[in-house]
Amino acid sequence: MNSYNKKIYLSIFNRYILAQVNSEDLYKMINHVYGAMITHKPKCEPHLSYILIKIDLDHMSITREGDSSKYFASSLSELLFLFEKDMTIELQKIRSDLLFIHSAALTIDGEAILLVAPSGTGKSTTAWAMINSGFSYLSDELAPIDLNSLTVMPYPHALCLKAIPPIFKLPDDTLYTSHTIHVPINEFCDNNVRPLKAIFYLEFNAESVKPEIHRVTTAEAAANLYANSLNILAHGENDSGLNVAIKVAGQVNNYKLKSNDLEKTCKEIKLLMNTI
Amino acid sequence: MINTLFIPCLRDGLVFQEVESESLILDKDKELIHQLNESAAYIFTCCNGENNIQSIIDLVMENYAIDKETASNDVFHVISNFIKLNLINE
Repeated sequence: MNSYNKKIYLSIFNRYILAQVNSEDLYKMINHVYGAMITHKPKCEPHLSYILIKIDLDHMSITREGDSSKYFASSLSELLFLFEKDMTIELQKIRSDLLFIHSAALTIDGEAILLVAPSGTGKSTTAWAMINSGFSYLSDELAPIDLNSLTVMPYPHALCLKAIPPIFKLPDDTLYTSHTIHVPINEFCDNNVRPLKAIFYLEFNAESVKPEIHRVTTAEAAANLYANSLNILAHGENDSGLNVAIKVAGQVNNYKLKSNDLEKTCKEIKLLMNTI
Repeated sequence: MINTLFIPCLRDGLVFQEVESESLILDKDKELIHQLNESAAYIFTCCNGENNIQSIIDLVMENYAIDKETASNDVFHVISNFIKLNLINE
């Protein structure tokens, strides 16, 4: 009979999440992926509580307190995916005051930049390259923006890659699952809320000889921002949220970034950030 | 095929927002955003279900101080695109 039972508390966007696990490898996985967000047991009740259960390598499940559904997984990576997916949705409900953008977020000299692009474009790979080029890490896929202060909150889970990056060797303690690669980033984290300075709308272009960065209009930026927002309908007038995207885009520097060479891209972004 | 008597009328479910010298149209039904330059946005706002194409051409000529042929080409081109994008009921 398995009597292993460990509780892990996470602090995310000033809210507390409890993950209760019944096996050492689940504990290690959560610790590895969310290590930068682990905290002591809070005085208040957690805002979200999960129970992650492993029966064997092919049979795992996850439940959330207050939800009668139970989700099943047949691998650690699938369980992790379910946990991340549910937690991301619930956090958007809990912090509906924040605007969540599907983007990587990094900082330099205390200011935040976003890399906005659809999945599969190379946000995380570019983020990894930027981390190794002097930038600090806030997130590789979720950038919550406080609309009042126009600041970006950190969501520093382990950087998640779909393939080994072409440059910058991964650390020895990188976690490899059947579908994903989780790179520990604790030493690169910027755990602070940072003012948003610039947004780069990223396109991978294999034909590019060198990275192309050019300013885009507020209208184009707002359209891109809108398309990559997760909860924009919850903001703004007439339930459209378009005015929110325009407001955010109008207050920051916006650029289209066509990228091919990762090292040159990082250099160009750094040079640009020094000038704006 | 549209002619000068055609009265363009915008479809429901569109959100129009001016952004500096451009405009955005959010098509909530199709989940698309369209980006318009200033003159296309002006023509869009003229499609109020009351102006026919000829009236819109006259308005464009007056507003931009251009000749009739240029205004006519622009208006037909833009409104044809609006129809292709399903922003106007045909």
